[in-house]
Amino acid sequence: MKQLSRRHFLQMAGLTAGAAVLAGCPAPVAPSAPAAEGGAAPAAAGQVLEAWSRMTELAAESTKEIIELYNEQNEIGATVEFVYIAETQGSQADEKLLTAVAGGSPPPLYYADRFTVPQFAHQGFFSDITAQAEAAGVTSDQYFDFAWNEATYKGGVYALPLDTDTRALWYNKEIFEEVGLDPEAPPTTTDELRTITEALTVRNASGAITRYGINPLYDQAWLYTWGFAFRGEFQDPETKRITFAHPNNIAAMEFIKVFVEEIGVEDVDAMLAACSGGGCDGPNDYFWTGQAAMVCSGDWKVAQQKRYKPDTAYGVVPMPGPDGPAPHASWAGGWSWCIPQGWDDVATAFDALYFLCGPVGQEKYNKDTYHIPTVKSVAEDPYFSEDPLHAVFMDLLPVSHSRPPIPFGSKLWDLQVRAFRDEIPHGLKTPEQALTDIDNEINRDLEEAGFFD
Amino acid sequence: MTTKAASIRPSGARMKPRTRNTINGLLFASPWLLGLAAFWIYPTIASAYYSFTKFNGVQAPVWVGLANYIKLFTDDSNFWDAVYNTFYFAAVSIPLAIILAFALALMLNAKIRGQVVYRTIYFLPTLVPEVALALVWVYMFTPVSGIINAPFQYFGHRGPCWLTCEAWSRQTLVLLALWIIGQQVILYLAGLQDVPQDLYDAADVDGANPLHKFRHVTVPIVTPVIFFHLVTSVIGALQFFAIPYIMTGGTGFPANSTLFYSIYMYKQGFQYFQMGLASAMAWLLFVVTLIVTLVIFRTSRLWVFYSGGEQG
Repeated sequence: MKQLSRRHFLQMAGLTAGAAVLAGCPAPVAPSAPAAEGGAAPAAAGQVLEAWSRMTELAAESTKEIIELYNEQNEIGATVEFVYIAETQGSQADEKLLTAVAGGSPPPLYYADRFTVPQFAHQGFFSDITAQAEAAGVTSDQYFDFAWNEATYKGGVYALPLDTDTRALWYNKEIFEEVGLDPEAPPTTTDELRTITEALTVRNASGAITRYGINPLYDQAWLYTWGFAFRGEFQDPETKRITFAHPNNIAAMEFIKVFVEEIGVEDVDAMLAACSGGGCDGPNDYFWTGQAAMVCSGDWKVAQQKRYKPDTAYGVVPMPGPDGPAPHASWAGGWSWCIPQGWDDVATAFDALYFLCGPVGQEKYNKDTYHIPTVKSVAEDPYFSEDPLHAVFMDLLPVSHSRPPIPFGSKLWDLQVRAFRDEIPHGLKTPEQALTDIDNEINRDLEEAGFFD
Repeated sequence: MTTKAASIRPSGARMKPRTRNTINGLLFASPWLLGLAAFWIYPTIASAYYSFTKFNGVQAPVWVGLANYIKLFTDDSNFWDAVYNTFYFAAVSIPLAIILAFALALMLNAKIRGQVVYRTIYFLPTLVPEVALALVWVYMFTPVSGIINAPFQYFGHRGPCWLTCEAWSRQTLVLLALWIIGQQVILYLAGLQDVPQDLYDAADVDGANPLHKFRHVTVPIVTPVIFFHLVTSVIGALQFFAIPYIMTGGTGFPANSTLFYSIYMYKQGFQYFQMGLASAMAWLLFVVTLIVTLVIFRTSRLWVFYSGGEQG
């Protein structure tokens, strides 16, 4: 009897282990919902939809409130749950999403940097939601063109735009006054920027900078920003080829090389190193701590200023260019929500997606975080121009550029960061070499992917 | 006892005890066997296949033959940077770690007051998770505001630029890797305590001085520990990932000097979605690690002494 029990025990144990392994295996990736299903009524009652996002602080708080609203108001009985996803710093890729989609258990909603949408669509990570968008009456003319274009790939809609942003020069008026500069006369040309930077910079006995005039490689001062300031172009509108080695981009990077040398490469690097790993996020930003007098940044800083430094006087003006103010240095980025490939009930997920990225969600999110709506009618709300600092960013929107929407957005981003923060300032390559290398590598990848066909 | 009882049970008479034992044994081991098959053997074989394909992890792989391997060897400067950095790290950090861990163990083996306290102190850093250490190091090693350079700044010098310049970045990572050798120190301590006192006594009788005793008694007896440390360090160094990845975000800055092999492999697979290329890199790493380890094993006959009388 005893022996029999043991055998039964073993059989049961084996069965249980087998069942557990089988249960642990997710279902294989399902093909995307066919277009015809787009209008089908969602069968959502009781469904919990995870919304994966890297948002923190203000953005996360606002999104959670929007989700609460959705959970109260939606008529299909679905519940959305905000899930924070840590992502690799600086990278625009998401390892967690890749493994979730590959493993066949993707989240229903995913918050994506919009310029990477064509890439993720090309790689088969996002579902085509064209049919759902059409069924819900969502049309491209509701959104700003550049934002809509970034959310589409080869004619299909793969995400709905949420917000956008523009870039300008922030400066601390109190530090300007402290060093005897006119707080109402910020730099308008790159030459003035160099002079004023020197005046604002403070060094300690060892010569190391303790207060930066500006760090021209920090925050939103990217290769794109300086390239656009010098009227460079990054993609040929006709051939769609990448053109980082545009003569004006080369001129911009030659300026950066000289400017960084004037400030001190070691000091510029030291600040970037201190900020790696999120060391300068939120209130620890060198600009809020007063360790930097100027910074190239975006509209979202308006909300941060109200939270972290409401009593300090700041100004915002367009970035300085070689011949005068360069509002065209601004480029509009922004984020979107999408439905990863393999999530079966696309219709239900889209219902929540459209709440987040439609007029209701956009109005609240963009007001809370001081971003700019991508739904045109919402952007017309006078609220967005009431704050004088935010008004500058609103004015920049019509002249802002956008980054080339290509299926290798992450790689291109990494390559330009490397050229801009490493190869060019450290003299590893000349600006022309570094930029030409980017073109060659990305255009080759695009050719292989049939992007130009 | 149980086995014997099972063998006389009538209902089991058709099955030989040996067979039944085997089946029972396999059943007991089955959770582990299933895990091994599902999470180790299958991925290993699959990655070998993927290394010959173009595969992004989601879409169906496309067979490309040796293209991934050829690309790595002929058309990817990052690959060679990563190989160089990894071998540099291994070549510099492993000898230093062996010498330092051995030296610390010798000191901690000294019969002095507070011996246990010292041992605890040297082991403590090992208890801190690597990621937490790496994040704290980012603050500590920041050239201007970091605490490490504060004394330099006090005397009007900038101090080393640590991870922010190519001249120092690789050495900084070697230095940091040496911070967590507490585990190895414990192994050497155990080895040292295995050295029989009568060997030292015999050496004394022969008129050996402390240096002779160290060279001809202590070191030979501890060689199996050195051998173990060397093999595990080589494997660990070739897979060096967490510390540089956390500290630099995997960018490889400055000048690709912190781009290690595992980081580049990870970036290819999970950030650029080149899972086929990453699989090829993984297999190259496996083969190289295997060769280096085999060479160490082969040469161990010449220098590893087992006190039982056998060599190698």
